[in-house]
Amino acid sequence: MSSTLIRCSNCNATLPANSLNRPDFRNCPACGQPVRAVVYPSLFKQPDAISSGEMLLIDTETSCFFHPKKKAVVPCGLCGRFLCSLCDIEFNDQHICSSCIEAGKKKRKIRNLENNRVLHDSIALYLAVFPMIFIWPTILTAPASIFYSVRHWKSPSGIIPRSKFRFMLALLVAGGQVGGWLLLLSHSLL
Amino acid sequence: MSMKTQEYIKLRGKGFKRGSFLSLSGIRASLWLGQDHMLCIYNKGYEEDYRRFYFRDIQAIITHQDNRRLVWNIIFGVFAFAFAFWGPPYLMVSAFFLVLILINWLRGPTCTCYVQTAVSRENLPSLNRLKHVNHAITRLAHVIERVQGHVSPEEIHHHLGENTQKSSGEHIEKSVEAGTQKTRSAAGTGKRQSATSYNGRIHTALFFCLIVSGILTSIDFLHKSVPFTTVQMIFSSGLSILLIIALVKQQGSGLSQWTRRLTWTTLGFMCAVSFIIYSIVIFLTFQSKTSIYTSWDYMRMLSSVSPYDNSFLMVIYVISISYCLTAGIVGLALISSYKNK
Repeated sequence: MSSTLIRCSNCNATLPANSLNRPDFRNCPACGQPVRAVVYPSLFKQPDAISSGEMLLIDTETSCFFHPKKKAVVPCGLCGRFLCSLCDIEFNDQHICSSCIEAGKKKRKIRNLENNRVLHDSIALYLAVFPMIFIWPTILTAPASIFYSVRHWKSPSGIIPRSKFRFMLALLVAGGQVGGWLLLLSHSLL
Repeated sequence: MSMKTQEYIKLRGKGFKRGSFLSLSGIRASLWLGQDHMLCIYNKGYEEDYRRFYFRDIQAIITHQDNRRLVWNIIFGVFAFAFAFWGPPYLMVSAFFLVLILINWLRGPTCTCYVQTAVSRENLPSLNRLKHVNHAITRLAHVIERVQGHVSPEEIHHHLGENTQKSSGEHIEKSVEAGTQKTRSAAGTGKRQSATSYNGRIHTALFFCLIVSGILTSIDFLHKSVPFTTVQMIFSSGLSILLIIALVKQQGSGLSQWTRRLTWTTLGFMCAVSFIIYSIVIFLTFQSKTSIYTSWDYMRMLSSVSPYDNSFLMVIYVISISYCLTAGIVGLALISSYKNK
């Protein structure tokens, strides 16, 4: 039962039960730091027992795709393969097999499995703005920023929807730089 | 009429992710409320990392108040105070630091918030002010209770009462023995970490060097010479390295909270003094009539400035000497009591 103990976030001492779910801060009995802990029912919930799947009794029964000797209980919500209770993963209110989860993560089809995204719009903007400090690199970085902006205009950005403002600003700044260089070159050539 | 529902609602507060020791990571963190989970976004500037906490999995939200606001106000206060002494042109800089103090004060008390699940305890860097934590807990309470239901105080006592009494008694004894050390890193990762057997040698050396530094500064205050200024600069660099080693060593050690605080305060003090000296050097370089090419020229210029000519320098010297001697003596006393225990 030690897992159901609530510990002080400052010193890791166990907090007394009467100091939990209180609106005010209570001093930790060990470190004396004001601590407040709000607990929820899942703290006391015992983890569900893992079912290894029922064995097939009759040959005509549907078997699991991954374990042919085990009885299928549910089809995969994405690929339709039959799954035994061991292979069944409940995710996003769906029953999914492990290979679909793996594929979904790799191909970024299941959004809730994504734990990283590249912010192309920010990169394009940095590429357009930061080299301005040294001026000369903008000969290369300005066209690169324009190319990057166009290339990734439709690429997915962060999970929280972002406007195209950064891309537009990057195009504007990089365009200005390219224009400036062209003007300078034409002046020097003429 | 089609209603476009927002997938995520932003919870108030923003902060920086704390990495390992002295990692000024610059990773911005924000917290968002989704349909069935809470999303913590770590923005590195060029990419985002996501951490999801499903409402059904959240076991507890633990918050403890800290004194980060006070520490920052002291740092800003030192700068404001130092620049105010420098002269009228620097009153604007001093006013800037006073505004920072005001903003920091108005933002409310600081705290550290953790979310606990069955497998981990994670810090929520965006919830670093009490008012943001209160707002987030109010918002979360509705959605989590909708998924998990409500827990009554009787249930908590029923489940935790006996365990807590037994365990807290044991833990308090252990904590007192160990000098109520912080195991912040352990709390952050959810792992329990035992106190390492650190005997405080580096801290002893650090506090001793602080006293020596105070004495050296006192001599420099009374008698200015180029070799002495050079020696003092080299000694200060060595002290900085020793300070960094001490800060690394005190992580997860059994040192008392006051020793740890003193070490951190020394870091803040040294950063402030370094910044001020750097500003003085820049200022003097621009004002200098002779050309400065080498480090030796710098040393000559620095040693030519006497605290008796400048009230601002006088204040810096007095503060430095007082701090070095006081912190050194107090630190040695704390370390000796730690060793005795």
